[in-house]
Amino acid sequence: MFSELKYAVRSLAKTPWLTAVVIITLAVGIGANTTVFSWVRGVLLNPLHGVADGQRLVSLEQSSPGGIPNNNSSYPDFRDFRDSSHSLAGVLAYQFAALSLGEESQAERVWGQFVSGNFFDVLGVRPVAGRFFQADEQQEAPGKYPVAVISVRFWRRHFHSDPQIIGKTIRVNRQQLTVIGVAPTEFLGTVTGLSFDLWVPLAMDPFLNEAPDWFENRGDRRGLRLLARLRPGVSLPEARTEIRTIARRLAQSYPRTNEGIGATLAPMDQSSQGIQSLIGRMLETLLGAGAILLLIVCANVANLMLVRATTRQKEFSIRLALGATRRRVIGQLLLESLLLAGLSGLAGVLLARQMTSWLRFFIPAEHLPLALDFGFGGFAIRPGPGAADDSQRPPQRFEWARRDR
Amino acid sequence: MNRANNSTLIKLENVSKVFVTDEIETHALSGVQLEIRTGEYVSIAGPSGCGKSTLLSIIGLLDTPSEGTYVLNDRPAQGLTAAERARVRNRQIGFIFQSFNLIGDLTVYENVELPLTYRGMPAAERKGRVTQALERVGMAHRAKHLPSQLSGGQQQRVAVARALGGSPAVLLADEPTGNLDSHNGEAVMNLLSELHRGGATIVMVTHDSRFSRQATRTVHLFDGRVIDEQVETDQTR
Repeated sequence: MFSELKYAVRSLAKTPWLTAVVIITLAVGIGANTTVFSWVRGVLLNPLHGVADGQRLVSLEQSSPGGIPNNNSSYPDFRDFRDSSHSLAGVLAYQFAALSLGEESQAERVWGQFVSGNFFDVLGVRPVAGRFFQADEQQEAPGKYPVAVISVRFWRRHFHSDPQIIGKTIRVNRQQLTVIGVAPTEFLGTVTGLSFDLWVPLAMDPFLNEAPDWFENRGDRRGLRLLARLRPGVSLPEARTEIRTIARRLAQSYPRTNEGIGATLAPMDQSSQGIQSLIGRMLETLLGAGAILLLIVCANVANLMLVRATTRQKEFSIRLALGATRRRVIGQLLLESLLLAGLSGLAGVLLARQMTSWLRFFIPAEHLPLALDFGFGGFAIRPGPGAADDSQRPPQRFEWARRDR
Repeated sequence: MNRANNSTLIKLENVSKVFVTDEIETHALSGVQLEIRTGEYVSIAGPSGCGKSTLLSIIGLLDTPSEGTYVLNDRPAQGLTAAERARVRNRQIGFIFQSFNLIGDLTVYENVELPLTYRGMPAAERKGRVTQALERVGMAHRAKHLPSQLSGGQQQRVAVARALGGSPAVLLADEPTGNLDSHNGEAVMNLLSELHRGGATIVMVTHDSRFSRQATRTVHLFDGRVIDEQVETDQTR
């Protein structure tokens, strides 16, 4: 076996150009497909990282009076959906914003999410340190519970993973918040493609942003985005029917604010929240193009290998004459092919590792905390370069492009 | 290498070979009767296209006869599977080709070792056999060279060593001097004669009468038929 492997290496080295062309061609095909698959897996197949049973999570989206999808909701609408639905195990609300961390002279910009009290419960996320929001902290009492959950990245960066951080305070938007827990590494938040470092109860939003209390404001304050978890055994169409019924009932009950506003549920890969709304179609197209590219690559490599085999017919005849069985000759060829495939696969993986971070070139919003490095095969996720703190720029709101369904 | 003991090593009875291409039948061999005893040195002679190489291919189990029977070492060749034929070729037959047919990517040592690896022989035993075979043809000092670094005569000596390495029952040489100059040709023929004196059974195809006379018997082929057999003596040489 070793001598055959040695011969296979020598045989490939004897035709370096052909070997190089085969390896490069296959590497490009494998690398491109692995890269696209990594993106598809990170954005469409597994859009929310670090949550439990993510396939049961859906985006609850309301539409504007004209029927245009609009994923923004008011708090009273959120409360009605949450309390009225029987097909949903839970409905959570959030909005994200840039926050000022620290003293004014050394303030640093961080991105956080204002979340409903049931946020982590609905997502099925468990803390790596401390705890998440308790029942009393889920009350709609502005400013009453100044607490925050931080990310592992934030914990590491600012507190060197100090376990004593729980119970200490951090200064956010000139207010003191008590750190009660640390979210796990893989959990980045609920907006695919973005990475957040702070989670603060929604009830703290008016307090931190000096905004008017909007808990009872159904019409003017439609800044919330909603996610829901399907109850076990309930299908998406069933839940969607119920949500539409609730929306109609709200329109009848509150015609001034809700007339003409519908609601629907969308799977997370089709959600208008997150980068899937921007690049979902593009990724599907790339996936198809990648498959075609791989077919072309395979056809080209097969031709090259055929030419190579043809030039070695004499060698095979000699081997057969000397007593090699056909099986052994085929085995030798397979070994060479496996060696080529292995080298190509390795080169393809190395290429893919570089290329997976290129997704950021498709996203124009550099001021956002982008987390687009889905890692090789999309199995790991790390905040991308865009997630770096950017305290020099003024906070900006970003509206995701909408995608018709 | 078997010593001459007058037992029949190769026996062909009424062997014919017909090649069919585009509905045209070409009779390469017709009713060949041939018996070769252990330790014999048989030369098959005849003009180009008379069927010499086809006959050697059948004897070497590289081809099968269209009709007739072939028995090698008391074992009928008919009905052998491809794998069995490969095994017999590997263990009982040593080939020496006109164009040497060494594998260019392998060193002299590896070329000689190749048929032994197909036999599944342990590495230590292979090493002993290869060294011995190379010493026998005077090429041990070139063991690490590639075939392209050798002259034609040297390459043919390596090919002889490769054929000898497995101690086959018979050496089949197809125009072994065809690609060599007269000096190297004579050297290779002397080597074959020396091997024969050492007990080797040799079947050689040649159209050079000078070399065919070095054999103990010459079989003359014409149009695929054996037309004459001549026992060589010191007088005919």
